[in-house]
Amino acid sequence: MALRSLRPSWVALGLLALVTLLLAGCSGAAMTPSSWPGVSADSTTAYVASNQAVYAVDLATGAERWRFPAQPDRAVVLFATPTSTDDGLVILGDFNRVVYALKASDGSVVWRFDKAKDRYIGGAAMAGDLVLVPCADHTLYALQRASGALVWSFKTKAPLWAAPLVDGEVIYLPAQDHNLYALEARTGKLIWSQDLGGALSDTPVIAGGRLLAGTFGQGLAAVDIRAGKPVFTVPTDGWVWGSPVTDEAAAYFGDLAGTARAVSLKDGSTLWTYQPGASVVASPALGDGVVYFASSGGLVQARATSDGASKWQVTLAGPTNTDPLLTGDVLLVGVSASPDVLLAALDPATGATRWTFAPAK
Amino acid sequence: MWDTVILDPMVNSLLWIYDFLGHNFGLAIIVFTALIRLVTLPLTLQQQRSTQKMQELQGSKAWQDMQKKYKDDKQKLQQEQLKLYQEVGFNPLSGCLPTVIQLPIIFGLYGAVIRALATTPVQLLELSKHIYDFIPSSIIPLNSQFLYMNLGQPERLYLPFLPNIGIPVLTVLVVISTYFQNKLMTPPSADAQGAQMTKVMALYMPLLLGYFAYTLASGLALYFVASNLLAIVQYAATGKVDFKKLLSFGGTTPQKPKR
Repeated sequence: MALRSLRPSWVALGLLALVTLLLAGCSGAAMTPSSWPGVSADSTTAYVASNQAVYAVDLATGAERWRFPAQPDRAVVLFATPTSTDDGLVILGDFNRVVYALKASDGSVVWRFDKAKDRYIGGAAMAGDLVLVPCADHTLYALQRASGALVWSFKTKAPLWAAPLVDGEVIYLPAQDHNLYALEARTGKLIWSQDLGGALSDTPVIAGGRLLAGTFGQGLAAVDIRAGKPVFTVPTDGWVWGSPVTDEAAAYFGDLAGTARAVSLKDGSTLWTYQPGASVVASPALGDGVVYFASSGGLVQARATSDGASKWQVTLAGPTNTDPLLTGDVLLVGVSASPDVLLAALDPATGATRWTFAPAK
Repeated sequence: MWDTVILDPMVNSLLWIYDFLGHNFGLAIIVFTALIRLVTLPLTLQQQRSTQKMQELQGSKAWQDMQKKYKDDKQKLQQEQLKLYQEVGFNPLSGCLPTVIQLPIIFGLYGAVIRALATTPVQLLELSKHIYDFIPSSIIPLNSQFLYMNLGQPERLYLPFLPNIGIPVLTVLVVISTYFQNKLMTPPSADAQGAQMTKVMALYMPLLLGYFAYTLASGLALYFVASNLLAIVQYAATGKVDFKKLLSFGGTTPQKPKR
């Protein structure tokens, strides 16, 4: 009876209010740029970019050295992997179309580049005195390391989400338009391109004269580095997001269907596999006879490279889609969506936590 | 549950249409919106019939007399209104039910466009978990270019002689088409309170959707425009549309009672 006594116009207004609230909620989610932390390190400092800041963290203690920007700034959204240079810069792009070069010592801005038309998701790469920055506006920007001035640019047909691989005078650029491009480093001139049948979202690696690149839908592709022709592919059940790591005999990688595997570098045949229980987005890290996999479920596992036998495993407080990084005597793992941990430093031998870092409010 | 029943089928339908139409996401959004409008047509018609019946009832002399007679006794007025509803066999919620049923579809469509565009790593990872096996992964990432727009970004038109000023054309179209849709399809209310509410909604909705269009991915703005225009076309096809209403400003006025 109470429901029947409602005036239809009030019911309509209530529904409208509900629509507004839900649409506003959805729009908030849509506007919030979302990725996982970008992590890198030099000999003394780890750099972790996550949402509204990049943090410089003491590798020995996990203490924060500086952050950029020093005060929260809604105009800055950082997720790209920071790139530290040998002349004391930390370079990274943000979701709001700006590339920053910061002083590694204190985080102050040396230069900025703001000519792009879309966000930066992938990290930068260095090629001599050039900084190469992939952008979601389909363009690879080559900037002067000293000033950030544009030297050349190379346009593809889809967003670029991963840093290029620099090998001497040649750049290998993975693109979401399914192509792997080889470019002249000095000029950006195309040498060859190869369609691999699926989007490429991570930096390829070189092993035995071949480029290895993960694809969305076509597994792992091995491409001849000179001719750019496919040599073999390793089919997978899920998309291969992160690139493999390699030793003399094998390549190690995971896929989004939740399989981690080792394959022969010779012909791509499977050596061993295991299921970590969740999607594997990140590239693994390689130690001495040990490969470290991180998965979306927050599980970090150390496996023997020889047979995949488990050495140790730990579960962190949130998804671990960031590439784990073995540096010095710690394994750095970026953690998403956790208020307590943004970066964890683990003992590579045991998985014990050395320290964790979460930015102070 | 939401993903399985509503969002996943919508996302995959949208992706299938995108693949079928030669990788044009803008066209896919328009066709998908048209299909959804077609599927929900019976509900829309039921809602229109109910609205018309309510309008007729509110325009009747009995209704107007009742308003005057019990203007100082709201409770009694409600009771008498209910009695009148029962006498003429009208359920006042029958007009709302189709809207309630359509709400999940509206949100699903909205969510499907956002999810399919997948412009960030987390969105793409999420999309990867919801694509059916028959959708070829080679269509990823979607080609978000439509006309001069990147459907994953808020739309702005830059003219050669105004290179530094982005004109939000789609936002303007969303505001105008939402205003027109409201104006053409909202019947005049019989009482002052209802008329006031209609007036507020006629201004509120265009501004709200215009704000979303201005700030969010233009794929959504395209959906808003397509949805508004198709709603007007659907309504016009029933023969009830009165384009003269577009020329009257300031909202609808209470209608005179019929004798």
